[in-house]
Amino acid sequence: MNYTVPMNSSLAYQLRPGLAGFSREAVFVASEKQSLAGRLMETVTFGERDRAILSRLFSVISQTANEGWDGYGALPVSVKTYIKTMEFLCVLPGTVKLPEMSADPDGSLSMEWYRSPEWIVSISIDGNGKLDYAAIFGDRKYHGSMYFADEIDKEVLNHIGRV
Amino acid sequence: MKSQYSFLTKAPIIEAVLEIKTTPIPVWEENLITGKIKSQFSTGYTFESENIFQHTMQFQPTLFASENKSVMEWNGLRLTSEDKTEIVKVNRDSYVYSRLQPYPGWENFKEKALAGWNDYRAIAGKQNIKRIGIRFINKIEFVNDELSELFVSSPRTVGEIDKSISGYFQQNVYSFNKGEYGASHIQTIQASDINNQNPSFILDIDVYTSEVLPLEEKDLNNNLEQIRMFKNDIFFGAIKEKLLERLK
Repeated sequence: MNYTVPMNSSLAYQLRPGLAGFSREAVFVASEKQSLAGRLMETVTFGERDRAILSRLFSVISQTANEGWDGYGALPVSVKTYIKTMEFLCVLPGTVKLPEMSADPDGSLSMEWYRSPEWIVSISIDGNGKLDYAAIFGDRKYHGSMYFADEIDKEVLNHIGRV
Repeated sequence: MKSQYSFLTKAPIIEAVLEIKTTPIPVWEENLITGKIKSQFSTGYTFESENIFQHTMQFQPTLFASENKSVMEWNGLRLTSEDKTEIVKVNRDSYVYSRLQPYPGWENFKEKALAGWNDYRAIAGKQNIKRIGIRFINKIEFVNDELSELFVSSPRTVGEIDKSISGYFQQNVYSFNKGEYGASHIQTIQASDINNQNPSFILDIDVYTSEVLPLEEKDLNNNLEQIRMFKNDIFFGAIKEKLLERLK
């Protein structure tokens, strides 16, 4: 038997919702998954990281949910942006440290992995899943833009892993 | 891997789903998109708007004066066929086609799912496909002590003290072609209800690929056939001969 367990195979990640479904049985499977994920979240071993993600996100959201939260007319962070960012953080490998988080005036959420001013990765996501990133590693600079859907682009993941 | 599997006249499929995720449609305005969808998906559907709620807090300069308000944001449309066997969900970045019982067979399912996809694409324009997946939920009624004769992997008790199983949930996540395709294989038991004397074994398989570039129709069709083959490999690999004979 071959095992190819990916880095992001946290139990809560594996129990994330799958493809859509509308039958009673699809709802039943989703609720069983949710119940299992909830039980794992309650534990210290499996739930600590997910709770830390929620806590960091909520801390930013609670301060940026209203228009003009920066005193200069910044757009509020929407539920869609919150959900997209949470999805991104949940598929991040468990071995990667969690980023510092902040909101941008255009209503997107920013995540930053920082080692020094010359060694830094910054990613922002909006409610449509549009992901912009910039990375600095000494004299090398990278940046790009893409749409995030369920999986993190390998190049972006490599950058984060270097910090 | 087999390319041909037994034809099942009593296939236990209770729902088949095709989901295609795309880059978001640039302009997503309710009246405009609803109008387009209603003219594109013209006959035989009822339309229902889907919204998501956003709860916001209004902070005031004074200490105790704060106000909560809920904002509703349009998320897309859900289309249901007159006989309620087909559901289509059109969102800004995804198209979903679901076929409920009775399952009409792969070719019919695929044809209708792709017809809807073409309608979606007429609205969305040439958005890049980010992910393609199919999900097949199978439901098999069983009587006590029979599961190990029907399924390759079935729940079993451990230990020596007499006990019974009152719940079961198993999920295997597979990777095919060096990660090009993925699959989730879930087995669980659904308790009996008023309509069913016996409990049911749920075999829920979804197979997907995220390694997708802009596709021509022919490529999408080939991709779906590949995904279907992985789905069949899991289904027929999960059941034993006794169940196979019962379903033929």
